[in-house]
Amino acid sequence: MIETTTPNLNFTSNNNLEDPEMITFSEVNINKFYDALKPSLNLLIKQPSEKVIVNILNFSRSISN
Amino acid sequence: MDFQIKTDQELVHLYLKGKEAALSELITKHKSRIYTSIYLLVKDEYLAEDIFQDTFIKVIKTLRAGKYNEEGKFLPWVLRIGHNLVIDHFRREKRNPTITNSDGFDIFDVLGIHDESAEEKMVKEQTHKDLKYLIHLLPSEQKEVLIMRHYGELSFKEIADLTDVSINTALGRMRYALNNLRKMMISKELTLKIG
Repeated sequence: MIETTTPNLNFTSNNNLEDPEMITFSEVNINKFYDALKPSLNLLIKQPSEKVIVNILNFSRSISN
Repeated sequence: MDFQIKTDQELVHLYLKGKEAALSELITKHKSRIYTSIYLLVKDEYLAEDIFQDTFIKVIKTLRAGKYNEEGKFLPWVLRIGHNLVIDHFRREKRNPTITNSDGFDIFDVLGIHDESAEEKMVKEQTHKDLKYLIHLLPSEQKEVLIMRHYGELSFKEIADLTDVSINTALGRMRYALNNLRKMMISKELTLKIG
């Protein structure tokens, strides 16, 4: 599982966010929500198949010869 | 030679000196981030694999041509190539990536989660299917930022550069994405199962 760091969501000077509903959901809360969401987001992580990796490595070898 | 302790920059240099194992290590190191970022945008595992493969073929060709000049920023560079290939795909298909349905994704096949009751497993499975669906419902620009930030682990500066917007806009899109996810989860009474 990939560990992630919490980004600095400093929106206090962001003039694009004029939506009152956005303002009421504070930066602290949104960071808490993101922290709570991370484990679930991490469970969506997928891997490509081994066949694709082999194809890529074979391609690399083919052009190096 | 222990490739696992090498930096991306060192691995790129080793690869260019003929060490094929260095490329293998770079792929192993970053494949989850790159593949997941592509997959969550295109929502089709076979298409995601094609684009993942094309991404690395382009990476290899660029490296071999001596055109790589972003030392120390290998992952953002590869993610940018993958992102551009996704955009190219949708331009060709002329369809909106937020419309198509998801495939038969099953995270438990990937993670090999064991020792859970059938009920716990069902609840967790449903929660994550729901979350994946909600991510797909986000506007594409918000979904992109969320994916690049969380799965690609890009900085907001890198995301801003990649998507050709200001850092403030990238930050705003991340916040809107999280807020929209929160609102959709409330409306669908979806509870996060932590841990």
